[in-house]
Amino acid sequence: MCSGRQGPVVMSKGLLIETLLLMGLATLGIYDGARLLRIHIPHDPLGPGGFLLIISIILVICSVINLWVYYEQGAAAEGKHLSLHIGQVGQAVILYILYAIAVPLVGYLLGSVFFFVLMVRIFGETSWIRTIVIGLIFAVVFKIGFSSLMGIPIP
Amino acid sequence: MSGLLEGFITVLSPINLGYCFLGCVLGTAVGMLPGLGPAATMAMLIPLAAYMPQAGAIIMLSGILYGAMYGGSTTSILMNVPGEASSVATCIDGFQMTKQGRAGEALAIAAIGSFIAGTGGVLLLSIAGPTIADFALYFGPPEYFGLVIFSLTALMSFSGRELFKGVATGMVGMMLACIGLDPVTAKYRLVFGISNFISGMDVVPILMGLFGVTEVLISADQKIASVYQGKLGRLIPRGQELKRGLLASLRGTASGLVFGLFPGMIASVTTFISYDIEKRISNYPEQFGKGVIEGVAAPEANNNAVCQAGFIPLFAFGIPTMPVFAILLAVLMMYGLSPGPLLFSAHGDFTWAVIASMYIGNVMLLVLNLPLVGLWAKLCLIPYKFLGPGILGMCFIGAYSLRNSMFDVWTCIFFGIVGYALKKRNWPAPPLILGFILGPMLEQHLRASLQTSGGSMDFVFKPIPLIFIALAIFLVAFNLRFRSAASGLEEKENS
Repeated sequence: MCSGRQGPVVMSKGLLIETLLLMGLATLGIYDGARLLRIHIPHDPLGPGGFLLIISIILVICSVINLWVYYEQGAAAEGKHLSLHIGQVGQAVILYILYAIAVPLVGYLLGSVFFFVLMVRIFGETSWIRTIVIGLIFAVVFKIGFSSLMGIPIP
Repeated sequence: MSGLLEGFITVLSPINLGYCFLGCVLGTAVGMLPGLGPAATMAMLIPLAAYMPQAGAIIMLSGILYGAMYGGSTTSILMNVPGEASSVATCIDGFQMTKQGRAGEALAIAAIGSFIAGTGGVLLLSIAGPTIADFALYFGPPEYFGLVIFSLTALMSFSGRELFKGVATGMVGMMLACIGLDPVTAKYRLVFGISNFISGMDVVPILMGLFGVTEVLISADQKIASVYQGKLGRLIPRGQELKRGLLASLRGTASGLVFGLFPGMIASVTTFISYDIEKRISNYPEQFGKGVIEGVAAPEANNNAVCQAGFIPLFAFGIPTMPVFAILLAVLMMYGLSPGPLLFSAHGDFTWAVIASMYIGNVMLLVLNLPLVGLWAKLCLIPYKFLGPGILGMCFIGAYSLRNSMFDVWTCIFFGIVGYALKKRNWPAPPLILGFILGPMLEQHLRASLQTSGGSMDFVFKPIPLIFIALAIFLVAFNLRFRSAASGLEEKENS
């Protein structure tokens, strides 16, 4: 098969991360599957570890194929590069994580006020007054709507 | 027939009618809004479903699903932006009709075609559902093993550009499902001393992350197009156009009902097949792409028919043909309702109520979509800067409310990031959730089959498992051959 690649093969960061993740998961699966295989269960030939071992081996094979496809087809086979530049998406993710950390510490209402205000801003609202008003409305409506009216537990 | 009549009596109660209406309205709304899909909405509402009566919850969630099929056509036709993946084919001729001042006719035939398909699908479910479910009585562990292998292969094969990526994410899903206690021996698997892993991973936060949070992150990356501001024109097509539209709807319905029975035949694929069929049998194929009514009617009828037909394998075998059915299956399991013959016998009042609600839901959707289409179009004007944070807020509360645990919230956030990364790197996400749901079924039936056969794999040579496994091998070979031919064509065009 002709390789689509010209010149030396260089593994991109994205492909390296993909391979390491898949191999890492597969290694965990093979380790635990092999550990459980040592436990003999009468009338259960596969046992608790057999299935885990099988799917982990298939994962290793898929990881190798991923590398092979990249080698054969070149960079065109890859998806978009995941940039570490903190754009809108990165800001949203960081804020969401901080929200999950903050809520058990400061309470749902206070945490949500900051979350919704900043998130509306991240998503493109330019007026601070409108941002704050909408953020407050969201936080209060969610708190009252879910907790008080519907009785759904909130942190 | 008596079951269906009792179902109607149950559904015609004010509260169930209310849930049906709510589901239809929500479904139409999310179908129209790019960046918010039925899967995300259903996943977000699962925690609320725990506080609802069983029938009401499934009626509402089902309404969201087939309502979204109706709603997805509106943005396709008015904005050339598909509200749902299943409405992509509608954009081709639908938007052209809008540019010619025939938006009203396009929207009307989309709604009428969806109604015809929806009604056809519900009729098929009423007639064939119990019969197919009874057939499942002949299924033992080897037969179910074969069926799950075929379903997983089909779902992974058609989920993305590369087969191995679908398989890999499916395997990851199955590994996630293994976390916790082994159901037979109660041994810890993949726990590694982490106490939160002992009770295993819950499917709902994973669903909310992969479908809810991921969609918001993806939408944050993209700009939403503005809605068409011109006149809608005449609402109902007339004469020959109406006749052609209706016939195309019937053909789209027929193909959709057949495709919808099989796992992996997702509406975003089958609608293009339906469009292609119309073009091939048309007397004027050169007009396709320039605003022909068949180009709208057939794909829209097809996507509704696929959606309705998918309830048959779900109720009869517990096999989700598409990721959204995995969500419904998760809810059924949450209520302790096992798909299969018992769903129609022991839980017949629930099942027939859900089926009856689909008849009523289809009528509601026709009424909602036809005369109120102008109002719905204004919904597309809601800025995503308000919708996105709202969805994230709902996912947060929804994930927490399941087990009053922040671990589930972290799971939701984690899988939201994973889903975003998968999408950016062209790895398909649906096999992950399908592997998570079907993996335990596969393991259970494999182990049971090996136990009864004394450890030998001879059980795969029984007639029914052999047929399913042969079909799975055929699908893989067809998929590889198809992709090889497609890439060969691409190379030829590029050279």
